[in-house]
Amino acid sequence: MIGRQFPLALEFLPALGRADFLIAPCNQAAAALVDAWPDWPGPHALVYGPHACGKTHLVTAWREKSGASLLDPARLTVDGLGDALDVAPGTVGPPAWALDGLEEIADEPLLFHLLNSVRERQGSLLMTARAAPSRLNFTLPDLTSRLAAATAVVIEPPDDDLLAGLLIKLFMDRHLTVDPDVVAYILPRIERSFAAIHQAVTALDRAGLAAKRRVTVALVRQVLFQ
Amino acid sequence: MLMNLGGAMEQRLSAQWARVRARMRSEFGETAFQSWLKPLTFKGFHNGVVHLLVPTRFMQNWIESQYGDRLLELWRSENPSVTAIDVVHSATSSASHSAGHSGGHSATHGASGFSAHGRDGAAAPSANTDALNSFDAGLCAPLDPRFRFDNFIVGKPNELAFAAARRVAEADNVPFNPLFLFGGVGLGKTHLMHAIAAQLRESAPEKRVLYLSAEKFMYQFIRALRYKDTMAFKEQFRSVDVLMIDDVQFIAGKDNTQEEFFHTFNALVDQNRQVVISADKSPAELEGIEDRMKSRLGWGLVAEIHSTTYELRLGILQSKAEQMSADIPPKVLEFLAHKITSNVRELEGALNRLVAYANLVGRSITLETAQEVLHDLLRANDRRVTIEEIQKRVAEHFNVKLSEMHSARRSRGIARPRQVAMYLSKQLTARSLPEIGRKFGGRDHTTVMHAVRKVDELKQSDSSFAEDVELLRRMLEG
Repeated sequence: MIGRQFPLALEFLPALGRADFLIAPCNQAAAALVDAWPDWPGPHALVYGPHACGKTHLVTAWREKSGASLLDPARLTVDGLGDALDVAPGTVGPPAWALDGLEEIADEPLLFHLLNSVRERQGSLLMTARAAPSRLNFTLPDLTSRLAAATAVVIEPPDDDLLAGLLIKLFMDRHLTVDPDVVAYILPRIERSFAAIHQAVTALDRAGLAAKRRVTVALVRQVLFQ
Repeated sequence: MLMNLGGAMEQRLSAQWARVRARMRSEFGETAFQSWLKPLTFKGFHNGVVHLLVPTRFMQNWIESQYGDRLLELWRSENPSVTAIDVVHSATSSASHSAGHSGGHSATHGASGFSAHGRDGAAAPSANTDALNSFDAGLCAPLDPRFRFDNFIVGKPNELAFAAARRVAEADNVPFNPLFLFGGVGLGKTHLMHAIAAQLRESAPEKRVLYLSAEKFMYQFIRALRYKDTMAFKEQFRSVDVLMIDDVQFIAGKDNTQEEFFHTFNALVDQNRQVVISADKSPAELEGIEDRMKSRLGWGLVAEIHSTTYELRLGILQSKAEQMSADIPPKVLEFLAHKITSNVRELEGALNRLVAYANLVGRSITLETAQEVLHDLLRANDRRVTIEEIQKRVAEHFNVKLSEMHSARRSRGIARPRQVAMYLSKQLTARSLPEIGRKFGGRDHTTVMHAVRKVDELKQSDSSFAEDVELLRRMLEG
């Protein structure tokens, strides 16, 4: 084995290309939705699933494919909507926009107008949310019915294979080289959620850096499972 | 001869590769094999180098670092002329998007998946707007080509509104002005508005038909005010033959806009130009609209679109399914018509979602698929099931005491239900295996793993046991 690798503190770039997205039964439909664009059944699509399940990753991959611009929920206003949706001159292909995190929008008429404007411009909008459209606590009837009519696909809780793959991927993203026995030790002991895997890798990366140690079973035991 | 030689060579190599894979599988175990080695595909052998393909970059790193040396050794034992292994990921080998995702991991139907009901209208609206002068093109909302009279499903709840809309679109002398269409969201107001505009453009291209949302009217007016260009604004709107404003309730409370709208409206009606308005309530019930405005809005024909009936919903679904040329069992359509009663948009949305899902993942549409895909629409809430609930349900089902879930007894009549409960706890919760073990009388995570394996095996060999487990899972998922 070649020399050890030490990650740079804080600075790391997760691999967010489409090919870096791990496909499993739980997220197959969501990945297929991104791949199917521009042949979507309608202008509005929504991917929903728990925290850290890969929604932003899919949005990034889709933007690479579609050239979609990312709408900032914190800065959108009804008056500024027209400008926000302006497409740069010279853009080819159908216009596309992405909105990562529907729950960050409190102004329901704004979201309603956004959906209408995207339809009027014959464009596509990919949205993400933590929960299904019917669970987002929006109350404006025109909005809820439009969201309910969007092509919505869920990312389900991860299965065992995906958890293993994700664990490795997140280590790789941080340039951490770990042996298979580390993965084999963590998997049967950890909460089986996307968020738990993310937290574990972050904690191990930090602990490894602080102690200037490789991530080994001993370190895992100490950091994650006392 | 050469061909044969090549074929034989290829056969030999793929047999060697199969043996290498089999040995890797037994050496590294099933989990590692499934996660890492199975996705490897053999691409070829040139000049002593075996070329293997993996779907992603990080898998490439992982395989090289963890399995690279052993892979080479195993290949060499099969074929001494192998000198190196080259692992590449498909993203690099396909290089560009146009090359497509040739890697084996892309479990999609690609672009053709939606073609049956794709947005065939992408080009149509611009063709329509070409017929208009440049000012209308900017002002008039594009018409959705899917909204036509011939695909509007008529039933008792919407027959008056439909007949009135047809009248406006077909006749020169319309006995009522304005036509005021109202009803709850998603019942087809916009569908009828688009259908009127589309038909008028076809049958009377000389007429200037302007269709837009109340919100866009407001936006244009505010802009005109800002640029001190209200004269041009008035001129634009007052010279049309047919003005159609959708969702007029959105100008409620906006006094300036309302005032301008009122004048435009009066000017057009006075000149005998047709006006069509839609709203979510009847004129009298509109809030934040001046009384004189309400009364003028109600002068013509006021047609309500009522909530749907089961028959209408079923009719809509059948027609929509036919349009999409999707193969949907009647039972599924009846189920949707029965369950999704809110409005047509959500009903069609549900059908779209179901068909899209089936297309995306390549599944046929059944009652089970429908229940799974539309779970959020069909269930009142998505509560997470707890380990305690699982233990209680399983104990009841197998008729054992709840305390046996935590007991140390290992007789089969007790241990089997306990294993099923552990299995379901792993399937239905995100709890870690040690935590599940603790909730079952302080057992170890390896005991939970054993239970999961055991239940999986039994499900394979005993179909009535598998049904039992499936039934429990469904009950718990609610």
